[in-house]
Amino acid sequence: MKCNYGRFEILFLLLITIIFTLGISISEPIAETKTVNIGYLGPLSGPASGWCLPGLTGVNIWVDEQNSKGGLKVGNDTYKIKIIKYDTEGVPSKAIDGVKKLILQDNVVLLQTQGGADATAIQPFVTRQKVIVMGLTSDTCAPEHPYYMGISENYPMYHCVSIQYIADKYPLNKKIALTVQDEVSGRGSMAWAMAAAEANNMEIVYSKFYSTETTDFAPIISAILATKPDVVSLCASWPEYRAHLVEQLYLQGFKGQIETSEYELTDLFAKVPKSFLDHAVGHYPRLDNKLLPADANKFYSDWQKRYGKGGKDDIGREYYSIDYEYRTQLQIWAYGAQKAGSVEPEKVRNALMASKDLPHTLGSSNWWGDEVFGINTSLISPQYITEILNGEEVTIDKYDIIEWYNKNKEVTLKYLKKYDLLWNQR
Amino acid sequence: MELILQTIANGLIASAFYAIIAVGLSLTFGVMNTVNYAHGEFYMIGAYTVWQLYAIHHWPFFLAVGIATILVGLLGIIVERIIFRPVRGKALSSFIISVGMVFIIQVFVARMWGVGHVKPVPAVFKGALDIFGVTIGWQRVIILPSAVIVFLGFFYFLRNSKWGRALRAVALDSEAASLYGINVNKCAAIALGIGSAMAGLAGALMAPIMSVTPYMGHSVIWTCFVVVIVGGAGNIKGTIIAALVFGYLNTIVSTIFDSTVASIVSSVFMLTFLSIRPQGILGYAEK
Amino acid sequence: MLKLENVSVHYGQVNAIDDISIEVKEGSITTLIGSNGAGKSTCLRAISGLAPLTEGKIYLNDERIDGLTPEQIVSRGIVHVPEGKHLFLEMNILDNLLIGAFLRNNEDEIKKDLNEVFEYFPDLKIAKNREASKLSGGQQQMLAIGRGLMAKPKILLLDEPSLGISPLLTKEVALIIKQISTKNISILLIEQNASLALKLSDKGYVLETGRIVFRGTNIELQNNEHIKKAYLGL
Ligand SMILES: Nc1ncnc2c1ncn2[C@@H]1O[C@H](COP(=O)(O)OP(=O)(O)OP(=O)(O)O)[C@@H](O)[C@H]1O
Ligand SMILES: [Mg+2]
Repeated sequence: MKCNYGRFEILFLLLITIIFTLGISISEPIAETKTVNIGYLGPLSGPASGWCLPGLTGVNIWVDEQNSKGGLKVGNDTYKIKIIKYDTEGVPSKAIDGVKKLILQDNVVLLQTQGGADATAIQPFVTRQKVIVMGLTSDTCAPEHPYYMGISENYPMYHCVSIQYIADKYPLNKKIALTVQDEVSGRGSMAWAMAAAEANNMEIVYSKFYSTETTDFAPIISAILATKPDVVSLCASWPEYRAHLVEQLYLQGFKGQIETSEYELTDLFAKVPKSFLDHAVGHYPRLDNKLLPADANKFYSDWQKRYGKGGKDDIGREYYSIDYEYRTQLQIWAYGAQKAGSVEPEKVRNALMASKDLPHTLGSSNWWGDEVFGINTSLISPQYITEILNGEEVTIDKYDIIEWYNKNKEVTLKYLKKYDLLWNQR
Repeated sequence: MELILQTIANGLIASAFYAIIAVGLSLTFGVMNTVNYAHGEFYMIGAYTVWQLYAIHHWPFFLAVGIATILVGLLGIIVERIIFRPVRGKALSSFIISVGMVFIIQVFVARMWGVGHVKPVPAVFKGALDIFGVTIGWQRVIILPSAVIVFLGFFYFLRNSKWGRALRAVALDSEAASLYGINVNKCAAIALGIGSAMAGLAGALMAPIMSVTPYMGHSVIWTCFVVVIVGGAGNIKGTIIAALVFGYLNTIVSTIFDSTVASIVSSVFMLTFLSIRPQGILGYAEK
Repeated sequence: MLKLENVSVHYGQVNAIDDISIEVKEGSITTLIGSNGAGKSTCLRAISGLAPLTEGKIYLNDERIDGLTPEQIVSRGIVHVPEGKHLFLEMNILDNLLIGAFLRNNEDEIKKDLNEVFEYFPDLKIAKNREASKLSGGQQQMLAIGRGLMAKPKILLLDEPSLGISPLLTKEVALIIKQISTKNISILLIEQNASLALKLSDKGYVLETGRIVFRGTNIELQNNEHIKKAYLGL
């Protein structure tokens, strides 16, 4: 027995030695060229991974394009780009471990994140280290988070222009009912949609939040339909709730128009017929549409060639919006770095914040937000409006959220205040 | 008027749904004298079975439901044998082991089929039943006759069969039951089998209209615990009545106010009710 | 027929019965008397398998039955009617009786025995669909005995059947016990009412703090001065 034990221990030590030497030889620098590291920090597994993992496709396309040209030219130097992933599993404490590793060990100059809880958790550390963090959404923008930038989406502000679109294009749809789950982004979407409804003199017949614990949506829809609305806005309802709400709207005989953040069409059409969603209004354009910049069109076809059906790295699913959203963070960062002539985060940040008309995948974009977030770090891109027609989401219009906000500032701030969403209310 | 009728219909369906799950839980509690905290996970497995068989492999829906029911029932029997039986009578151990099972099942299902996306189960019946200006999706309607059939069959079994009588006897006084040759272990296995099968059935029938995720058991099991407690733990008729009470309470409050208020009202109602009548709706006031 | 040899039972530290030997002869009524806490019920629980032995052996017709489960023991014809009746209160009379017959499969015989029980206890027949909880104390005792009979016992262990019922009813119950014993059913009877017990029985044991202090025929016990003083109040 004793002898066996000894042998086992020796084996174990040997194994550890092998792993260590291998590890060291791998992490030994091999490349001679200058490389800049970028951290990709987020839930790559677990329930929230849908908001993070798919974004790697767009990131890979962009990085490979730069590196195949020899690298990204910044000032007098040319940098190869290296993406270093870190899986947080959606757990904020893991995000903190991750950000320490990425900044202290890998010297990343930019952190790409989804935003939300992960991004908020790492703010104290990145602020001390002065490293830029970019996120999909703007909910983390705050004066005490000077290095956070909400880049990719106008979520959930975009509900104002979709309601505006309904008012413009369907003036007969006057009565609107709104509902969404009771949490921060749900309340945000409600505030912006309500503001637009009031600004257009629509009659708000129902506006209530439902609990995030709801399992039975029938009573909610019964109550909504009793108010006889022409439009039902499900605001930023979470996808699984949206499916139940839409199904109940259908089953209880709703005949009007639906508005909500996005549409998981395959899931929805498993529950309701295609015609039911005709003229439903959404926000996520397909990038091959003529209303979008040529760069977006090109990205879409590159994506299809590489990840689409029969492509080189066929990923086995349809294209969807997350695919471009991390790519556009890199575009914005590269623009800032080139302007600053340096990859040093502080300089890049200053160059970015001083810029106008930044080159977002969806079109030229501008900083906004000091009245709402207390800081101008939310990048607002052109907002497209989609309608579902014959079971397909078609892009049909384009709005400018900043312009809309400037016109309807008072009513918007009123609702944001009502739901405790302004930066100085936190 | 239409809204009132619609609310009555909504409430009835919600009650039937809670009743099926809660009666299963109440039965296992009555006979085994321990709470099966993994009951909600059994419900989840029922839904996953239908997702696999019906949504992925395109088996007929009701065949998938039948298989799910039997499968979860068998699972209950196995769990009784290898998990609950060794710790019978040890309150703390059975609590720990049963809560542990919740996590094990969740993690297992999550590992096996992933968590990211809700598993889509297409509706079997896309239409809605439309009477007196009230509309209920057929998919929800079927829960009602299913509940009625299950309960009629279950009551017949309890009343008129030898083993049904034995289950009742064990629930009332397991020591006396054993004096007449009733095998308490076997009864516990039957009870957990039937009780779990009910949870599996509810999950299977509701898969097309619920969000099929590894954690879906959580959201229903709390209400079902409340229903079982108010019904007088182990009291089947009381459980059904309590399911009606809470089904309607939830529906009416979420129609008039919203679902956040509804869950608060349910909890407050339970606490007040239990402080007035700790033995439950139909419970005997035994000393 | 039934024999306990040097049986001891402990509940944790408590020594409930200590080194007890008892014999029940076929067709006889044997009684066990003793004051509260003497260990009478524990003897029966040991026999029926509810209380595990710490020492000793129990034989039924030369077969060892200690260590068997209650289910196995009842299937050998030893039926225990526990103290305090332990009826299934929320079930009706008929169901209570049928639980007694749980291990039996011959429907005709079950029916026959059911009728026999109803002959012993006509009250039960009239109220057969009534819930057991709604019966009087005496009726409940009858039901408890009836349920025991439904198990087709060879030996019936009766734990204080006179507990909590009127003297008149007690006499009636005594009569029925006598009647049962004539049907070739041996009886081990526990009583605090010693005079009744001794009148009924052929043989008896006196238990004091877990030990047997006297044994003998009913005549011997009735004439024992100590028993006269301590148990018969003479
Ligand atoms: N479950 C138990 N745990 C611990 N001690 C027990 C238990 N049951 C009985 N005892 C103790 O064992 C002893 C014998 O109890 P038992 O019930 O056999 O007495 P008994 O002669 O039947 O009394 P009674 O006439 O009151 O029914 C008593 O001292 C009692 O306190
Ligand atoms: Mg006793």
